[in-house]
Amino acid sequence: MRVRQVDQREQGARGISRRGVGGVPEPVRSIVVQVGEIIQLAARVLHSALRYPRGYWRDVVDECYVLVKKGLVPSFATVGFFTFVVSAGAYGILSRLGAEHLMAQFTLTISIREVVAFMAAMVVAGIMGTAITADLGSRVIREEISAFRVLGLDAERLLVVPKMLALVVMTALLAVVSVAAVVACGALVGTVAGDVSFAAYWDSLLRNITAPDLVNLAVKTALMGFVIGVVHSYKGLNVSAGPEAVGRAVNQSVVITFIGIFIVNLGMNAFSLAMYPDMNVLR
Amino acid sequence: MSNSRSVGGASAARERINQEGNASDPLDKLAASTVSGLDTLGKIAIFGFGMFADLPFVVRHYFSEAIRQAGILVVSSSVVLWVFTLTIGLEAALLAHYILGNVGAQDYAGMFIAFAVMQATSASTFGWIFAAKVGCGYAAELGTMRITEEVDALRVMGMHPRAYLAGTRLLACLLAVPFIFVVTLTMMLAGGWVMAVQILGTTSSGGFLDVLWTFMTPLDVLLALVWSMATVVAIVVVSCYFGYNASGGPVGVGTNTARSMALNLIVASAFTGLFYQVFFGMNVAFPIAN
Repeated sequence: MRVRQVDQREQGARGISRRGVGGVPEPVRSIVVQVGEIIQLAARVLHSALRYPRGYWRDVVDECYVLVKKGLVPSFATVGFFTFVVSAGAYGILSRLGAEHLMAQFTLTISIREVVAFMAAMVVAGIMGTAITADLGSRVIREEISAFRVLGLDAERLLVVPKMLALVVMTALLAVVSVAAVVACGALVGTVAGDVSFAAYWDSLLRNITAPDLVNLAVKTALMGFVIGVVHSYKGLNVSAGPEAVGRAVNQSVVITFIGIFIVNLGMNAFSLAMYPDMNVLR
Repeated sequence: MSNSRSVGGASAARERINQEGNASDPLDKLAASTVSGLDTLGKIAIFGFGMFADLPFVVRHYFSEAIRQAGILVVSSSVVLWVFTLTIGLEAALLAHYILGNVGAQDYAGMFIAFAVMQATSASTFGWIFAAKVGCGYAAELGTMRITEEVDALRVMGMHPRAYLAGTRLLACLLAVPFIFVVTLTMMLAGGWVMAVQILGTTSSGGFLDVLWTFMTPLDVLLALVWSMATVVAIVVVSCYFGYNASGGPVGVGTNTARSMALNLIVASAFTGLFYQVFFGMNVAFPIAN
């Protein structure tokens, strides 16, 4: 059944390019076709994972472990260093205005709403996403995917579904845990390098951190994890031929993922700011 | 396991540790991984010094290849870098609108943009996107050349493979990236202007530009340029090292690309914290309340 579907998909893509929209210039057409195929892959994987939710959870746990092992240190380092700079800037601006005890507000707003999600997703895309593309791409080159098909196995369910679920879960968890790095680096800047007492920093922090902020962060990064999984799996499964193509696929998928991450970030921010205007109020 | 494949000295050190102590002891494992990490860092440093030592040779013999690499960089990567940094400018103006609006200082959106672009984010965001677009590409390209034995072929033909492959790319980045980065700064400021003036209407165009030019100094541009060039050189060295020393077939290339990306993210972020402290310390270089 899977074989038939894939064949139909390939025939459909070719048929369309020959007949209906042949007048559309090639670059535009290939972009639209790629986006459409990525969405189709996402729908197939979601259907497979939700319709038959059994048999892959052990693999999901394994993938989660790999992700934690490889991603925790880079994620903490990038978030920590960047928050350090942002906090130092916020402290500088606010101390000019004589309101440096409010710096936790700036640190939290900038970090939780923008930086942490972007960084965690970037780390996950850079570490796990590239590995997924390289793994699937080299399997395609060695014709292991074709072998799966011949044996009647569903390669997408066996290879893509566990990684995708692990990415969805772990991107969100890494981002939420990285908030600890934000709080620690903000405190370091404010109390050790700056002139704010820890009590004032903590007070400002607790008054300004809100549940919608954290829920927004978790949902946003889970969506980003899904985008990372789909794009990198698609690019890996559609490697043309030769080892050179694997390198190119890795490169392209990182760029496409960054675009996807940015779109998700902007969309979720606009949505949550409209739904919870309280997130913006200085307290 | 992946370490021992690409780093020979580290695996020897690990074997030594394994022979001396119990391998399952977590402290020994920690020591072994620390040793292999330091070993990799040292090898990257040696490789980087080698790339710099090759530069005169590259200028004399492979200058046309360096120009070709610079052309590839400008044609295929610059637009991606500019579009991403434009969106960073848009985000900065969005934050400025909400944060400054809360304290009633919307007229000073330009101050926020000047700080965010010049002093905080330009070099670091440029570094991340450069690592993703260019760094990953270099690692994958050189890794593919290594596993298809093109590097050995170059050596057999009497060429200097490290200078021809890594040195030309470094020279190309040194030639082309300053210009790309200056346009990047323009794109960030333009993104801030579009979001603050045209879309959100935070302040008027004249007011925005007046505040922006008041709070932005030529020194800021120079420091941002130095900062970003240091980041870019580190990224090129790291990704060329991991590509040049790839092994183990297409999977090895993928693993090494992923490792170079992880290390590049850490390097770009660490440089952000370091250079911010070196250039600005805890003071924001603003002409108010000084």
